[in-house]
Amino acid sequence: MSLRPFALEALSVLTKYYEIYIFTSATKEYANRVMDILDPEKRIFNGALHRSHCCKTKKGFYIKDLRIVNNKNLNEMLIVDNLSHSFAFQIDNGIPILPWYDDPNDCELKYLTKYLVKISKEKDIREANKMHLKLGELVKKTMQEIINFS
Amino acid sequence: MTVFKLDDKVKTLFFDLDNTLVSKSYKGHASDICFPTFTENGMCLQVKNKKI
Repeated sequence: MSLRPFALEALSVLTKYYEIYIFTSATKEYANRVMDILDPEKRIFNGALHRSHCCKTKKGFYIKDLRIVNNKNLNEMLIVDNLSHSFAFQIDNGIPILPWYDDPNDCELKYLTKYLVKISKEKDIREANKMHLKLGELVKKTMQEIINFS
Repeated sequence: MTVFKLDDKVKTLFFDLDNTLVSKSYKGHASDICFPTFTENGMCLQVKNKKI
């Protein structure tokens, strides 16, 4: 297992702007173990949501439905994930990131940190995402292409 | 589905783990993982006595 370049630097900066949690479709044991390794002094992560907090589709995909959090509004939560279907139920809360495997020159987290800091003071974080990422428009366009094709 | 309650202070950021923050090239059990170590390619996690 390897740590993505700039991961600790990014997390360290972002703790000043956000409460950070892990949300993984892996097991609770795995989430806790990795969290202990990344953050042994417990200064970064406030906790972890794991597989039992995900919805599983009939085809076996795990969806991370933010409505599981009952004391936060959707306008103040973001999820960063390399699998876009993970935030399919709240597309404007999602921030897609390129998957990382082993490239030591990867800089995605460095770039992402700048964006996350920039939008951290927005009243409705979804509006910032809509404006900058335009994922909703992409979904609509793709759906229209599917309809036109069929 | 379990309902989860978070600290109600500031905005919240959720990070995925695999292929977002970390990469699981190692196929063993997570409990085998020891502490981070620096290598020429950046930081890696060490599995018991074997660097991966």
